[in-house]
Amino acid sequence: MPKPFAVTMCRDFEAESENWLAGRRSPNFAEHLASCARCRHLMADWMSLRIAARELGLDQPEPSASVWQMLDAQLRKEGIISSQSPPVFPPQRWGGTLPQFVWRPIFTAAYAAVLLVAGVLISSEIRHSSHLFSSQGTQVATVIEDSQVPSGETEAFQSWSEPDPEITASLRQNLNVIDNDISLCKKSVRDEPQNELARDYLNDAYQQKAELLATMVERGVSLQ
Amino acid sequence: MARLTREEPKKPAELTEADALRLAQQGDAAAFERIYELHRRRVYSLCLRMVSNTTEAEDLTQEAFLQLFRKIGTFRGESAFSTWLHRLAVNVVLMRLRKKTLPATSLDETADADDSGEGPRRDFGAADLRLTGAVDRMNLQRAIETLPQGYRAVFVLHDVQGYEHNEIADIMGCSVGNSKSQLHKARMRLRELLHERERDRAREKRRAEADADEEPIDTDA
Repeated sequence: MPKPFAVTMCRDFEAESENWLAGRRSPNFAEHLASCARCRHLMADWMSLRIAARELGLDQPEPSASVWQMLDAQLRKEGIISSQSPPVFPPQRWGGTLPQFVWRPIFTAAYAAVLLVAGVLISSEIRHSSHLFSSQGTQVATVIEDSQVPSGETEAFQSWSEPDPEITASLRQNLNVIDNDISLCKKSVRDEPQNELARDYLNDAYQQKAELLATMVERGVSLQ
Repeated sequence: MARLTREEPKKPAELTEADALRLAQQGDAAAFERIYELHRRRVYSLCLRMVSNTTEAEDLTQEAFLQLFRKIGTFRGESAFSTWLHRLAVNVVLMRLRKKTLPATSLDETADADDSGEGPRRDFGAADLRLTGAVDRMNLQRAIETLPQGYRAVFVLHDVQGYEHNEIADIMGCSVGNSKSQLHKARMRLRELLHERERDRAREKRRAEADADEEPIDTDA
């Protein structure tokens, strides 16, 4: 004949098992588990379930970047995010799924390449000008008369050689802004080397600088 | 050239949750991002455990945050922010599940065989799940998928995500007792399902072994 308290304990399994799993283990319930195979098996299964569930909970996957991008777009559309606020996540670009360690050398190389091209163009321009000055009178045929050049090309040439002062000022101002961005991002990366967002901003800023330098070279704007 | 003249980048990572909440109520983009960043994994995991489909879970995550940000101006801090967010997320998920699978299981479902108050009754003599290897993550996830919505929500919140019963009661809008009862039933149902699968697997194995035994011997060899 089962002990009266054991019967009570089977009925109380729900409450007692919860306490047991929470670490509040009563001696009465421990005694009951030792004597009742049904509850012991059930308790063992509860614990197995709890362990597996906790393991499942430790795995917290991340939603894809598109979730925020769509959310951000919707919030702007509804006017919840102020339209003046710049997008805080860098815009999705080609190869956006490439890991950071791939992007860093690409941007560095692109930046170096732009600087190199700018240097070559500037030095060739200087050489070309000095060559024209030194050969004046002896190689007149190499100097093209304005009348021989179609008017559109002349304008284009003039606009290349004499950049609009407003554009020049704007480009230089942008360069200063980006340089400031880079300094801030570098500081953030130094302070928090694990901060992916700061690294992403830095990469983005480098990319913008490379693009801007390319534009400046294209328009004949000097860095100073 | 608009993107070249952008403002100094804001650093959402530097914002505390309280700062982010205050700024988000003023429509600050970086604050919204910070809130999203702080809670996205937890909300997405909850959705994923509930629906077991990454596309749908992302959709639900987006919907939950969208509802949150629409209502963020009304948040007065009476309850913990995360509880508020998770209540929204659970409601979004449950609404979706209700639309998909009718008739729905009520949170107050009582018509259950385990509800007689007689304590544990099923599979008493069965081998422990751990010993049979039935409770691995994949099996458990599959079994969770088959739970009725109310059980599933409480089990995921309590056993998977680690919420306390009083928090679950707040999130689900039910009593603490109800949360405990739902959890108990969820575990009973899961155990039953896992044992059932274990029995099916054993049966299939026996059948395969029997088929192998009956295979005719190749006399040409």
